[in-house]
Amino acid sequence: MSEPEDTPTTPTGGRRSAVRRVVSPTAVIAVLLPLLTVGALSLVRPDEQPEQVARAAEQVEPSRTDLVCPPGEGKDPLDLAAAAGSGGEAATRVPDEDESTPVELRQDAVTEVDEQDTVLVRGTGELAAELIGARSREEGLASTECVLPRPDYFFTGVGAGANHSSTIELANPDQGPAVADVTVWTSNGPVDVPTLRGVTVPGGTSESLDLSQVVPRRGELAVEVVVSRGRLGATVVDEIPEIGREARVAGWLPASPEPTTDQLLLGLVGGEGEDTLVLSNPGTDEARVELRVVTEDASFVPEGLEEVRVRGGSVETVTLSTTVRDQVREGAIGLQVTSTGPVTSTLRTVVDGDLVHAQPVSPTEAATTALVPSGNAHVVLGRAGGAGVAEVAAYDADGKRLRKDKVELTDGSGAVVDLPKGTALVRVTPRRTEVAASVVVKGNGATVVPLRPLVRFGLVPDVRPGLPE
Amino acid sequence: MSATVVALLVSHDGARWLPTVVEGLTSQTRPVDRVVAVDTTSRDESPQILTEAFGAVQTAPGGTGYPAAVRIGLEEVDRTGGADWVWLLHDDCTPDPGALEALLAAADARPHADVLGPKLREWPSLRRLLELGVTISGTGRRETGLERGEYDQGQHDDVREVLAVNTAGMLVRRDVLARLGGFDEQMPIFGNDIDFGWRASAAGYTTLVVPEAVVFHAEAAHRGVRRTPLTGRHIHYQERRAALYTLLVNASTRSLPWRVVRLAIGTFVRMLGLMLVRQVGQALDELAALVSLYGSPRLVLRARRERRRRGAGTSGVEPLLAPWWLPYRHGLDVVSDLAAAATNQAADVAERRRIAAGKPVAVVDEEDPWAEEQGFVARFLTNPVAVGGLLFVALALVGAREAFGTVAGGALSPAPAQAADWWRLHLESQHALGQGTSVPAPAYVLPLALLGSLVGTATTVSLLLVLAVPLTFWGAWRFLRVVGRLLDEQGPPAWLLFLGATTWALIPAASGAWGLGRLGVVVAATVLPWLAHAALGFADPEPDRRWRAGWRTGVLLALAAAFAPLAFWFSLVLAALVVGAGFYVSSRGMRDRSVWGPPAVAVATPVVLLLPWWLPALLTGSGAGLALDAGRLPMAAVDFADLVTGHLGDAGAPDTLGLMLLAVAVLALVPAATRIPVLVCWIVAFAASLVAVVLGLFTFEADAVTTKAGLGFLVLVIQAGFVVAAVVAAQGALHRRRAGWGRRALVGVVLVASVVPLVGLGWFVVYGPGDLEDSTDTGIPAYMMQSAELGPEHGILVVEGSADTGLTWSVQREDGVTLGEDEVVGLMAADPTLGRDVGRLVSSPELEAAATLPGHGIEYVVLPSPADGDVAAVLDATNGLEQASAESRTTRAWRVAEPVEPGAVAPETAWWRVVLVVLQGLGIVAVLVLCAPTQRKERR
Repeated sequence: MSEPEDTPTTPTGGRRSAVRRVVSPTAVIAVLLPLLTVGALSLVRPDEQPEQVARAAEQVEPSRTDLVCPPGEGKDPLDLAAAAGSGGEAATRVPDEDESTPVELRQDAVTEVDEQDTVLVRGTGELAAELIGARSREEGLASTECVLPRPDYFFTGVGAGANHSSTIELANPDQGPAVADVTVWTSNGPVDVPTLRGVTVPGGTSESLDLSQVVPRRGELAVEVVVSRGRLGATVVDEIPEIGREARVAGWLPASPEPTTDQLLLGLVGGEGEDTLVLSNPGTDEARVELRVVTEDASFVPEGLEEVRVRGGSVETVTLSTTVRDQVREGAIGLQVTSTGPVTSTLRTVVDGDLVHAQPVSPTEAATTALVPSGNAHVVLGRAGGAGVAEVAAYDADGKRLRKDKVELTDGSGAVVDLPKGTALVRVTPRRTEVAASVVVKGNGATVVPLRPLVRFGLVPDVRPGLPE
Repeated sequence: MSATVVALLVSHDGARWLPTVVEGLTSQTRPVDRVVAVDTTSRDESPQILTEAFGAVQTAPGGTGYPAAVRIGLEEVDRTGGADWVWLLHDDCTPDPGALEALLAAADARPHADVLGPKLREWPSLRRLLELGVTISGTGRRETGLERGEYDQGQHDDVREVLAVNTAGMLVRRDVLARLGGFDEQMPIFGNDIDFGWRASAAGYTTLVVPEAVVFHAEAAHRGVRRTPLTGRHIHYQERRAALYTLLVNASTRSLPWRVVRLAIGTFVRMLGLMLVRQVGQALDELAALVSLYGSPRLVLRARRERRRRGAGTSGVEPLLAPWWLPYRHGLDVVSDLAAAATNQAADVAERRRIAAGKPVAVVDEEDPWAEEQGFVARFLTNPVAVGGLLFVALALVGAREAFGTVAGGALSPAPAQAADWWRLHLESQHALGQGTSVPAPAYVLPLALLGSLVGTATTVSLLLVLAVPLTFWGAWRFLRVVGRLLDEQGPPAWLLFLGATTWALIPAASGAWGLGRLGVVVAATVLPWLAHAALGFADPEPDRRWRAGWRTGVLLALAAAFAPLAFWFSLVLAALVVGAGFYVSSRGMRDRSVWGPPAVAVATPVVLLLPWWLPALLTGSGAGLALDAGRLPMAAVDFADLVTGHLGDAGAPDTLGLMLLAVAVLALVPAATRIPVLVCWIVAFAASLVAVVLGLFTFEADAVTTKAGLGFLVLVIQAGFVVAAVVAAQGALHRRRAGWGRRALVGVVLVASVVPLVGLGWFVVYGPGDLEDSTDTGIPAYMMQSAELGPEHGILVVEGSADTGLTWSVQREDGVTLGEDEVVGLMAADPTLGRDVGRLVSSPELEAAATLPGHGIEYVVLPSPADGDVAAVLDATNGLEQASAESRTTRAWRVAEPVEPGAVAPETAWWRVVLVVLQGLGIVAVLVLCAPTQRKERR
């Protein structure tokens, strides 16, 4: 369509002599108009359309905290404390009972409650931010913390057989029913257990799931409890029955943190015994796990400790007996578990006929607190995040500070700090650094108590009007 | 012995015709024995003409009706020796020389005949048939049994018995006339012949029509050529009154009540019809005729008694009356005539301009000379364009497959269950949406309600989507054809029309508007070619047609603006540009009111018709709706590239197609011959881009959503402008038929351009459904939706999102958000009290915010999948909320323990809303009446 006579100029004179060519007005418009149109359109810039920005929830002081404390066996005391706060009145309640009992708590003092059933503790107001609790046992020393209801729990190293059986305790602190789905993994992969799907716990009650009854099988297992409705506190009571000359050993299996690729099991107990590391891989891909022994200032792979392969959706058990036992004597304070995929882990030790679980702890900048059962206790610090100081403060049952130690830390280093006798509560406060901490208590047996940061908050989500779907 | 025949001629101001009448009467092959002339005080020279021809003339007063004049004439006949036969003649009818002979011959052949009538032919054409006997239908219509303007080719030349014959040329036995009491003086001018015939038949006499006898009749009174004091201006009144009177006084007693009711209803129906074609005077005449008779029942009763006294039965009449179905057939004919006239209003604007300019009109030989010999199917199959069109529509329907049945998804909300929901939405001033809002329903709810009432709501949406491409194709074809004929008399070749129309028809699909479920843009796109077609009427040489075009464009623009409000802003800018350019080119021509008036009317019409939408929208602060596309908010972000390549956001066919169209539109500017019309297309695109720039500056922030303006309609207009530019330039270049490389270049460009519709169609067939689905899942359990339908106070609070990224809340009521409610929900102000309470509810179980929910009209709280565990945990711990079940494990739901408060949220309909809607309805009817084609006053 671009013939010469159609070009925007028109001849005005003779064919040859037309030197002057007048540009017709329509030709000018024909050039200008598309340019103007396209030019005008280029000014349309919807890119500036503001996106609805994601606004995270505001963290505020919690207004209410519920703790679920596992049941005891006859005379296991339940200790409650208001950590680093002003104290207040907590309400304790036993499932299936409507009445609650008030318990007065003072700052950093430990109050003992004599109740062997599962106990639901509620702290409101200022107490909500500082309420902690633990169930302990003197004979065959053991201690386990009361748990905050959360949507997801992992327990690694549970048993469902004759020589090792575990019972999951599910307690519902609310009025409405709660529903949990329990997934079980074995060394051969996940097991489909219909009765563990949609376990309903009516409001204010608790439910026990004896795994040896529900899913009887040998070997070490791992379970995940997903709370799909309502809120539940989940705890596991672990038992190795009397077999032949071996006496019965019982305790609580603490929940593992969420699966991760790097974890530090801090607090190894010396003495004669057997160490079993249980690894679980809830993912689908195989994970290769490397184990390193951690001392106060180094970490290394001891001879004979090989890489462990954990298939997706399965549980792997590694017996470490001599390897670790020898190293503890040499000053090992923990075990580092590094894997190519997220796994959970628990180190179970039977020392002098007592069951001890070492659990992963994470370095944190926040102050960490734990209730300490009576016995010879020392704090183990590990994996410092840089040069700094950790303050270790010990309090007795009345909330009186017994001692305060300052420990100099360098990057990656650790430390062991002995605690004075009568320590009932310990607080580790890192300065300019982060550090992971556990308490190892020895008495009539031994136990390892992890120190957890008391970071507890209520979420005030950003709420705005939206469009219905 | 031969019978005596006296001709009785009545005249009133008939000097125009009388010389011919006298000539016809005197040149009879069988001469009349005497002529008695009666003149009702003519103001012209009629009496002189009559006196010259026939001697003494009887003179009656000016207001004398025909029956009275006949009575006076008969007295004169009797006085002058009586007669066997009386031959009635009017001053505007002239008999053929053999008329009387033929009539008398027929009377001899059929001795029982008492009344005989000739074949009436039109005067002055002399060829067209007027009447061969008449009868009357149940609605009072004078029935001749002839087609309008039928030529006399001897097709009705049988002597037959009829109900009545016209008094013009009626040959009647003198004694019969006497026994029947002459003509009824209640009918001075019209209709007395039918009444007479009816009475004659009822009394057992026989009326025959004798086609061999021919009388030419000017029908001066009926056509309004002659005004008498008796008819005045209200001829229609006289005719209707006579018709009603005839039916009422002659009907059998048994059928009388039914007739009374039927005629009253019929009158109102006819009035409505007449009003709709702007014949207000005739409508009032109808009413006046009815009132005049129904208001004086004694008159009717007296006439009925009189007929009974004369021994009238009803036996012989029935077969001679018009069949019962005839009025309905006439009604159908009228409607189809109107429809044809309405659809063809702008079709021949090109021809009319050419005729007005004195240029020759091309005789387009569209018919194949073989056509007559081939069947329809063969003709269709041998026409490549017809086959191509069929194939195109079939493939477009395949592309639109998702829209069959119920459809929703993307920006399209599901249709409500019943059209009543749409009516309610349109009528309410306060909707029970959210916590109650006075944001008005969008304007397109009314057309949806109208269509939905006819075919159902789901079918309405389905039809609009399925027919979008075929209807656009049809409209574009018509528009492009007229545009082509405006340029030159031959018009574009069919294949070029096909190429242009298919490209245009695919714009709504290829732009992505269809797949995104932007129903408003799709409907506006469908209306666009028809709107453009109507707007071509502004170029009509006749002012009346320009005005009709103005109203028609106004209605279509209102429809387009109801679905895509930007259509109005665009038309405003375009009108300003075009009228401005018009004043620049010819300010004198533009000063004519019928030149600038119609476009002004077209632009003003939507303002009036859409009043119930835009006025409350501005008053309630939801004026953003005046710049949004219909459907869910926010709008698709349309940027420079989208506007140039014809897309809505990321949706639609490949960008390359749009770029090719743009390139062709730019190339279209090259040929100088068609540059002006192509520039007009570019002005259209420029107007659209101006609107896009201005509206692109705005960001509309409502509580629930922030959105830019919806530029969908502008995308379509720009693309359509490009298509028209390409077709116009191609047509011009083709007609110059040059050879060489120029020709090859043209072929090349056309080939490249034809890739656009081809690939576009292929894309639509494959990717047609887009975001559309059979149904959408709201994530809310079905039993809650059922409970919500119990009433607006059974609301469902839906909290979406997570604590990490922020939560949004909304309230679902009744059947959820359905088509038409999106804009209301998107633009309404959120209730700050409820917002605060929701914040408290999800923050902490201690705050006891659940207790406030029944007061907000909320029965359930839902966290749709995937529910945030932290938020769910807070709600689980809240007293006053009971867990409720949900199909999906990742959806969480609670029931508010306290019962809902009735009336917590309720819709309202304020008086002003009713007033606005009634005004809107009247406005729509008025505008529709004004856009109907003007009816020439036709002979009945």
